[in-house]
Amino acid sequence: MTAIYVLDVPEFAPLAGAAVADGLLLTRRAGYIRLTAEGPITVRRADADMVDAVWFSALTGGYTGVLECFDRDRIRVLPDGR
Amino acid sequence: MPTAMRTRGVDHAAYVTTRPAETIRFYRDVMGLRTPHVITAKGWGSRPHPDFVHFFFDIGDGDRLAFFYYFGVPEDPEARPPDYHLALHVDTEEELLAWRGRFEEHGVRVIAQIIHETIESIYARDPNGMIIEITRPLRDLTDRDRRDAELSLEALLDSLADDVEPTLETFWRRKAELVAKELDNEVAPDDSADGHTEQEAD
Repeated sequence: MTAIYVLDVPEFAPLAGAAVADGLLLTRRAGYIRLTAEGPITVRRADADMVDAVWFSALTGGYTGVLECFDRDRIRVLPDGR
Repeated sequence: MPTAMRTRGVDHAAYVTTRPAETIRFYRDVMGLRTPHVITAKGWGSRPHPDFVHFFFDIGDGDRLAFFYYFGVPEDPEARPPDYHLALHVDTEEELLAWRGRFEEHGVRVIAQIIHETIESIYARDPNGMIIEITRPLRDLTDRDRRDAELSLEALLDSLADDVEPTLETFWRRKAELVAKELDNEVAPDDSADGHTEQEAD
């Protein structure tokens, strides 16, 4: 399983809207948005429209899985395989 | 965590300067800050700099920026610019841009103007190489931000205490565990009452 946790505030919320995964489940509770999927979760920056300071802090809410990619353009979290 | 004892803002932040004339000109003449207090002392400083002038600038709301100038201590040509910085608060974008204009009028280079998560800032270096940031809020911080900050510190402490070498990734994975508990601990509200959603995303 993979998960990304996003603080539910205006500057980070676009991340949740830009996340893509098969069967992506979104839970909005306790001040956070939880995105979960069985497989990889991908976020393309072009879809999130975030300034540098927010984009590079995008995982401050935490993630579950293996961070395969986090660069200027893309975040991809994979299942950890355990 | 103590809650009854509190401090109230910055009384003064104090730094050492070996370029006192330039420092006075920057803060007094370029930035236009007033000088509420100056202290001089003979033989009270540590060796090898017993004699000093300690001068203060008013940075607003009763807070002060202070410098020590120690007589007889030369500037170290090998010294690296300080890694720390000081951020001064303004309320509005207009004020932020006015400060940018003020620096530029006086030939002080504005290094950057950056939109952060909850603030927008400009940056310049003072004559000591210290970065002076001027920043305005983009939104108010809330209890949600505060709770998230508490969880971040908890995650960092846990990461530092772990047997594994701490990295940002170990921190983020621990943070996820703590946030997951927050979600699990909150009683699922009535969906119709406050918009709680659990749904397949698009």
